[in-house]
Amino acid sequence: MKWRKVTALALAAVMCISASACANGAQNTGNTTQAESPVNTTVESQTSAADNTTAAPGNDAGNQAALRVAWWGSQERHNMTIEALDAYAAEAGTEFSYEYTSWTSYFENLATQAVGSNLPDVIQMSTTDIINYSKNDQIIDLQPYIDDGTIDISNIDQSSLSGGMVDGKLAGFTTGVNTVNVLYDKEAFDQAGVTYPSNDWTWSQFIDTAKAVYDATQIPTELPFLAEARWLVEAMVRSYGYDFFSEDGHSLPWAEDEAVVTAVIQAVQDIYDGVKAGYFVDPEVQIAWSTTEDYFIVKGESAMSFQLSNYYGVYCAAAGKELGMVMLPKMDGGSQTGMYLNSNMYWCISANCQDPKAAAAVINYLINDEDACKMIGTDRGISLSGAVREMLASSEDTDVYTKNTLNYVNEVSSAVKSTNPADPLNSAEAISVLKNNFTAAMYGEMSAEDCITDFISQAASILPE
Amino acid sequence: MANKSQMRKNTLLGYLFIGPWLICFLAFTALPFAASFFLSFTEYNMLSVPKFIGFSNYIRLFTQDNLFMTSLGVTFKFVFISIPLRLLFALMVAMILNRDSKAVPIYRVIYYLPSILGGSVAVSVMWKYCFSKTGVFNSFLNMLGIPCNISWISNKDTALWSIILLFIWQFGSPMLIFLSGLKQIPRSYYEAAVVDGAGPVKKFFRITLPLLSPIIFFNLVMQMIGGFMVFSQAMIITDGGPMNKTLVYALYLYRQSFAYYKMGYGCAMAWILLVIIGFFTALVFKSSSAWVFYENEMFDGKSNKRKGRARRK
Amino acid sequence: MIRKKLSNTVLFHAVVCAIGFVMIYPLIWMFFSSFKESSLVLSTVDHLFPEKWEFGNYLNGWSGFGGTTFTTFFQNSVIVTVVSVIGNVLASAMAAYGFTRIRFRGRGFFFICMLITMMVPSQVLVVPQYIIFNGLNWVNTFLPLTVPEWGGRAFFIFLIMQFIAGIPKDLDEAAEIDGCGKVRLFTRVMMPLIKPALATSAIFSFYWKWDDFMGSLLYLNSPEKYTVSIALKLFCDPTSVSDYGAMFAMCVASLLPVIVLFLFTQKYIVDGIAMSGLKA
Repeated sequence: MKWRKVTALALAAVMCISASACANGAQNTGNTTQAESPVNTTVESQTSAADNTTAAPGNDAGNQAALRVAWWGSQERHNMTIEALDAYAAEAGTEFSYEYTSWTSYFENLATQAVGSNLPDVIQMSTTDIINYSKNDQIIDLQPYIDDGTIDISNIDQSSLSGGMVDGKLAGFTTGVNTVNVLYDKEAFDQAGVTYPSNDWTWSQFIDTAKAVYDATQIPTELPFLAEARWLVEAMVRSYGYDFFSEDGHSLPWAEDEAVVTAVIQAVQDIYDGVKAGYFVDPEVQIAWSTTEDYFIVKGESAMSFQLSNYYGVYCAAAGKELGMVMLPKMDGGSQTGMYLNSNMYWCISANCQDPKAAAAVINYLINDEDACKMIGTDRGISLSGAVREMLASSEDTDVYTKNTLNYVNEVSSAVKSTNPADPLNSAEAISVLKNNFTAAMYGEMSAEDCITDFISQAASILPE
Repeated sequence: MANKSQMRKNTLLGYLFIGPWLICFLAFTALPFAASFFLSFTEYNMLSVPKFIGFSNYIRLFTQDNLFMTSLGVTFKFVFISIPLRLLFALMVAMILNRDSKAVPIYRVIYYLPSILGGSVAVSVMWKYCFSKTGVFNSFLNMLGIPCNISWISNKDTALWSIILLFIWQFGSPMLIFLSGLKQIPRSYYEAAVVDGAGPVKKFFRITLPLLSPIIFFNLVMQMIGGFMVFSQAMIITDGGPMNKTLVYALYLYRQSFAYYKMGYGCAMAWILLVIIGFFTALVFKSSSAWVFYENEMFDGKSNKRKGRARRK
Repeated sequence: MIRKKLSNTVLFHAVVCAIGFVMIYPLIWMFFSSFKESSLVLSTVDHLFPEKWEFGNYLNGWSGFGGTTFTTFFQNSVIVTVVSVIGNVLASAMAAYGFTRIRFRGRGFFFICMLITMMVPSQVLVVPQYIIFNGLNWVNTFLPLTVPEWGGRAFFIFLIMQFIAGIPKDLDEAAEIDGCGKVRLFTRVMMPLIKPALATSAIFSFYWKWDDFMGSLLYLNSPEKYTVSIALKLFCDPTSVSDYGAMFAMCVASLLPVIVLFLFTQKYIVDGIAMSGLKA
């Protein structure tokens, strides 16, 4: 009898807890759906944002002013960024809460936080993801903070900000620019007796050079664009004056021009011919590479390699020598260089930030402050600020690799005017199709023509209408 | 009347025992489950409110998405090759290690260790190093007089095998479960069998296998479920490549949900996977009455259809 | 006869050691790599031993990031893991006993529910779960990582069920005739009998929690609350140089607790003695 009472009691308790837990959960689900569209109705969004901060998980209790800053990176970046921000905190009295993680799952984490209207205040954002956050009003327009002078752009070329533009809003402030380049091993060229490439070379000259070095020394060139097939098409269509994606992000403007499509197909064919002839590295070998140390250019086993300029120092350091650095070849039939500047990544301010002005001031500090830039270096790309670039170029602390990168980016900047705009919606999926097709073409599983035409037709259905 | 009160008491008791599980299930699992089911009928990018679109996600999956079928094919191949091999290997090692020797505890640790490395960087570096064109594996084959210069992890025909191998290599958890199951088999049974003149083969088939069958059943179900959801191995070694030859289902689902911001689509994929796994699990459960022998019925009473047959030697 | 036995034993050890070496080689490699100079870790993959022993990797690794050291990360991991494991094993054993030995209404239904919970990829549950924990104001605390574990895990419940199913029912009946209630039967009779299953569950539960990256990352925002599994990933970044020496050093350190625990508990997995006595 007694026993039964106890069980009944226990069960009742259990039921109560579970019921309340459920109710709680349901209630909160409702709450969050409301908060999910923060900008639709300003009043509502502000109240829900305020609700949020009372609970603000990133802040220690009572610390309303602490700004949550989130970024991904390596140990070095974490330490450098924290050092710079700590210096700012000491000076300006701003309190920070740092949320640094690794690249893996950074965006998974961020998207989940967005669902809970719980995004950090200042967010490091990638070029492929910024569009999603901006289109859905999770990050705010930075233009007002430029207008009111919080972010100083007097040393910055206006056009280079276009990288952060989404629908006419400045969704993110470029942390620095980088651009594609061809690395070459001077020793291999000397050995082969081939002259170093120059910035105005053409695609056929590139192919001939790779062949000539290989014929003389048996040193191949790394298979171009296997890691990022997009660079090939991008540089190519730009030679003809097209953008990769149309401005509205709904189509590939170059796909209509038969001459361009033919040229792109021919380039893919050229590369495949090179693979078969042996002067490009076997795709089966190259596709397994993932870290710097894997690349043949680092081991002196390759004549040329296609890389992003911000990796230049890393590759030189790993190779143990100063590598040559030159622009991508121009298409033979093209009218201009195919080069372009890319935003490395962005600083953004989230819509649920309580004090966007303070957040903007932090971004200004990271972009413009010379001491901060000394601490951070060119880790997030070459700074947009002319003053900072000059400071870095003249500083004795700057190593020769960084100086070369600075020179190179300056050369490209003077050759091309604007920074590539942020990628459109669904671009990641479209690009992965291209990458896959290109790999298949290099494996000999797909013809060069199918590789490109299939990409064009799939992109049409993937990009939003 | 007495029976009824007994029943009520049992019900109370039953819920008392499964109480903690039930509470957490209702609070933290059932709700997200329902939510993901609902989301599978929406267009949901996580950054704005979900938009109800009916069956569109499911229709798109079956009619427009080539990669869906590709990834399903890869996953089936993976499951049907790697699970039997992993279980076989685990059982074999467990039986070898099921003996009394001072060194055996150390061996157990050694054989379990690969499994605790999980999907760490060390594993991915090692695997690439072993199975590349100039890797250890090819050198080994050459030593045996088999000339081979395949790059195993990036060849279109062998890439999946390199992942299957990694999965088999990490057989620690089923092995441990087999081991503890083997330890539960009373030694007296074997002694009696020896008296009857049974050899090792006979002992294995007449004693070990039947008495271990509940554990084999468990491992089979669990490994199968795990196999269908394999993710990290494919992610760290090949990331789905080359040419989607190793694009397992969970990896594709992950990409759709988080890299392409199509959570609604990802949820639809998840529910299709649930149906597939559910089907195979039900199949194994159905078949279990023919080959799983419990000391007594797993579920007693008329309320349950499944009747384990008690069989004692 | 004796000779044959001896040669058998030698053969056994030789084979087990040989396969064992292949099994464990990556771990050995990782161990020695943790003493290599960072820039040489990947370029000298084919050399097992470092040319120069770099003990500094451990110091450098342990110093962590921006002032938060691995002492903090280890503390956090230990708290989260220990609390989770205890709850997990207890609740799983209870539920398993309830499902196998008590006949109650709804049992079949909930059993199937439990099985189904294992069949949906966690990736799609992440978002709704976050909403719940966010609503409970549990984000950036250890609660989302520990509380759900007190409900047990389907894997362990099912595992322990299989073990209980192997225990003769007569035993329960005998105990009940002796006036032993179900609760006492569970704590006094059943728990000792399923020790191997409990030990197995404890090991897995410990390791899974210790290794859990996604959950920790989602729910812990501030670095002072990060666990070891998150911290390990902070060394590596595809867009910049990674300190592999320090990373492998900390990988080795992070494996130690798991190995030690395994060494201690594996005895229980293997001690199936209680059972043998009963069944004979």
